[in-house]
Amino acid sequence: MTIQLIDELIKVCMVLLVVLTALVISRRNLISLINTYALHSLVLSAIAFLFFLGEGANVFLYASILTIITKLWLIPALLKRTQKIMKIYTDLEYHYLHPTSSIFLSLFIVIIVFLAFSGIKDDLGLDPFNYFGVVMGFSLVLIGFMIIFSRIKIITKTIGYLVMENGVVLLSFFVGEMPFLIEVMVLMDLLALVAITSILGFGMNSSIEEFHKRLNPFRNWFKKVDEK
Amino acid sequence: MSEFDKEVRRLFPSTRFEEANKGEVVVKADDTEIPALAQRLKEQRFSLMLLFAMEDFNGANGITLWYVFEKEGFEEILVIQAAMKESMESIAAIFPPAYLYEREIMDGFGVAFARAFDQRRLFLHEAYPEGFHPLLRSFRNMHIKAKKAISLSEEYPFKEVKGHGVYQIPVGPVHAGIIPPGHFRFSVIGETIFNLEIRHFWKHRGIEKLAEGMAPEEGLLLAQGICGDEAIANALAYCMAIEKICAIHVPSRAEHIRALFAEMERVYSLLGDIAGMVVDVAYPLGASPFFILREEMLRWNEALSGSRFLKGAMKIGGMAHDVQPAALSELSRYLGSFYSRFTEGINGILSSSMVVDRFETTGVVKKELVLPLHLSGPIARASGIHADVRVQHPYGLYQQIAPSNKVTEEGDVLARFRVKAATIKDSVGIIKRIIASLPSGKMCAEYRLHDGHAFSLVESSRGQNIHFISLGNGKIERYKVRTASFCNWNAIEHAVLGNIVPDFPLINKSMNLSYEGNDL
Amino acid sequence: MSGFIAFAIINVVVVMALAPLYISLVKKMKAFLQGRKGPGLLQAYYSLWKLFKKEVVYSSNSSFIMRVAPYISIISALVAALFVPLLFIPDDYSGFGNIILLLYILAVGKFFMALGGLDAGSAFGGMGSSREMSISSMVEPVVIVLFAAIAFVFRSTNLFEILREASHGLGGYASLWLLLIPLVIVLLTETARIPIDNPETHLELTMVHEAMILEQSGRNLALLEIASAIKQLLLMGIIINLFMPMGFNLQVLFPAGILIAFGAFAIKGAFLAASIGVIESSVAKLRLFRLPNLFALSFFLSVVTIMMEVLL
Repeated sequence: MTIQLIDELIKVCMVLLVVLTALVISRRNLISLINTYALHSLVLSAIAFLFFLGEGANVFLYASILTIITKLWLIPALLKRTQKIMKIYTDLEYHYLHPTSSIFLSLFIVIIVFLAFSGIKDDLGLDPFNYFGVVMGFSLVLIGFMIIFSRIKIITKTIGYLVMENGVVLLSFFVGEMPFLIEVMVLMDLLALVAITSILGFGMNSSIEEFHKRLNPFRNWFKKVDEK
Repeated sequence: MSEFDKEVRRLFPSTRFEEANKGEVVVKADDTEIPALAQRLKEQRFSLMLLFAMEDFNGANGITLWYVFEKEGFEEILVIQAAMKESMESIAAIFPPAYLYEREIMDGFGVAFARAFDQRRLFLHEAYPEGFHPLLRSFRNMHIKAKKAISLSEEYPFKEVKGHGVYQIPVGPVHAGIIPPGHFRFSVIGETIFNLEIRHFWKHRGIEKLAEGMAPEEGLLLAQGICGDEAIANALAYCMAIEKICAIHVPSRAEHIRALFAEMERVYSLLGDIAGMVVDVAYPLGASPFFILREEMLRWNEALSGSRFLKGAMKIGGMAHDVQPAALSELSRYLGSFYSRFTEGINGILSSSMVVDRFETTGVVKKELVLPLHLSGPIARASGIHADVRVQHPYGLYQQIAPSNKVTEEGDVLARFRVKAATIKDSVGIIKRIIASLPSGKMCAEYRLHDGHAFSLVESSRGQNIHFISLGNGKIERYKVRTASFCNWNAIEHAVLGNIVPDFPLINKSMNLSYEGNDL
Repeated sequence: MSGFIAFAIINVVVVMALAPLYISLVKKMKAFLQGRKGPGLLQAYYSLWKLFKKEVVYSSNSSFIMRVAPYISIISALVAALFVPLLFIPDDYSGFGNIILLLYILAVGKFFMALGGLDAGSAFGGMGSSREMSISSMVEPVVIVLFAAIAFVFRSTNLFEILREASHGLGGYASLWLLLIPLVIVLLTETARIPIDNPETHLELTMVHEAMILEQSGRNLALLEIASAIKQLLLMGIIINLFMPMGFNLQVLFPAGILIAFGAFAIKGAFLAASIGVIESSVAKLRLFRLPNLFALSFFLSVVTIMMEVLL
């Protein structure tokens, strides 16, 4: 494969990644939400593999394999199992955004990021290809944010978080500095793990508001301790 | 004295109680008392099951009205008999389903209900001449002169919804697909349904009139033909009523086979519902497993009873034929694979996000509506009310084997889908238990006919069916049937509000009500 | 000029011959997936033949619109057939092939079909027309942006030039693959298929396209059906020749090259029709008001493709 073709394919994958991210926000069924996330990670690992083909650096191959193992298999399987236990099938609650408007907002975010980065493009010394990757990666992070604040259920927030983390990974593919990337990945995955465990503990159906209710008894308990 | 008796006596301290069959508490009331009684019963959360009229009951001249009530948690039913003078006060404002019953009586007997908010004709459409009241004794197979032309003022007045941007969509009675006739008048704003009015009785067959003067054995054929996929349910109810009148004791083996067939009917009938719901969201691939299973169940029906739709299996006093023991054990083995294939199919549907998306929040029947509209069967169970005749008024084998029903709270199409799927699974379990515990013995009891009258209740695949038979001189004097569909059709008018027109067929199919069971 | 006339004749003949076949093929594929036998592959031809022999019934409320709509639809479909080369590209286009013009020629046919639905004065015709038009109005910007994206990728708005460029292989046009998703969505929308509409439904209240032509009968119905079949084939032709150009526009010409191209096209078309059957079987119909979501997705992909082509 020629370098040019690989670059083109990477671009296609990146756009798919953004589209899948936008799709996450429109999924109401939890199983398909998890599947969309798995697909998202698959595309990410494909990008890493294409990088490996293009640049030959082994670290991309490792990243690709690591992504497949953890995000295509481990995390979705864990989420699906929890979902089965909890018997919650759908998340119908949105804060501010509805599916169609979220897709348009995602598009808007891509354009804004594109324009924002065009000013510092030369300072960073990015060629058009890397520039596109940085734009897409950064958009992904922002869209992940959007998912987190627009959905109410913890499970969907977690998916938004995981998507955001994929964006960070994508960003670092283009900025280079792989050791830094690994560190971030581990950190992020740990956090994701914590989020998933909290779901296991508190139930899939819970929302942030419910946490307050559940934690309230403890506050009273602490008060009592103070009074003593 | 039973608890129910006490409850009723507390409600009506000064009323006369009548001798009655087991399970029926009969009260005689004056016609002027009825509205006050109805009001009191409503406050005590009684629900109107049936209201019908009978001419010359027990030698009395004129028309007697029968009000039949039930209350959750009690096996017995309350029957109030009231002799009708010139006119009777309507109770439609207290018990909404009465607006149908009262119009039915007005058409059938030519009497009037005072202060009824709906005085339109029901099953006699515009073409029938004035003064034609087929349920009167005096009416005997006369030739009637149908009106050739209907003037504008004589046309059936549908409820008009006026306003900016409201328009009407008339649908039916002739449809694009091959389905029975029914007219649906939608008032919509854009695609959103604002009001729906259903008009039925396009193929009213006059079953109640036909039954008059028939021998009980003859009437059984009529009963099983009321509704195609409720043949067993209606035939069973009919037989049970006759058996109650004549104090016939049905042999244990026959009771078992009756329950077996009733459950097989439930399974194939609900399989059709489930497949239909999936087809209506245009997902035929997901529906095909259910169609295949339904066809296989129909073949089992044929192997066991000789009829794919279980017709001719029932007989007064028992069953018409015995079943082959070899076929039964084979069926039991087959049901094992049936269960796993069915579960796989259901899981396939529930994991398809697009299907679930269509089912969810569509066509919600609110829980508050179930009691006032007297909804029953899977529709009621999907809306959080555990309505099941087999549990509430156990009959036959169900006194020993109680079904474990799933009850969901949501009341939408998805809830009905889940409830129906769970009902099929439960029925399969019951069939297996029946086969395992089938006793040997006679299939049919000897009997002698008596005169008398009785009610019987069964749970068909669609809900509560109630039959009333009065025998006089060995012939049927009055036969009244009310299938679950008659009441449940009202649920659609409420469930579609606020939904969009393209979702109506799905909501309709999720209830899959019977046109035949309504157009008696 | 004579080259173009030969092209026109061959293209129109191929379109007319193959269009009903693929309608049957989609049905056959769906039936196969459901474990049924399904209709024979020639069923669509038989049905059309049957319709042509039947009398035409007009509602007493209808005007001349009802009478001319089928002819305008079929004519617009046939004119559109000149814009989409299926087997080879002539040297001389004679002003044909503008991609925007193609869209609007197809829109004229659709417009008259919708008018015909309204004209009979029945509730369903009006309902079908209003739904079809509201879906059209949603999909229209998507189609424009999509075709604009194709035009940006190939730096041309002429379909003949675009397809000639594409026939050399898509090595340098990886971004084009992004447009496959919107193209398929547009194909499903324009041919009234699941998840947008259900071509096989008998439930008049859910119909979109079918409700619109519910009042049409006999020969007129046959013409509308052919027009729809042609529209499907043309959109399929664009997808096939853009993404699977093997055997398209061979240098060897008449007659061997044409025959090979025809064979190749028929096979690729069968493959695409079978894929449509698979897509239709694997999804359920979307709720009417969820459709914008699907179109927003195509819009998104098209816009990002343009960004990739123009801004980088």
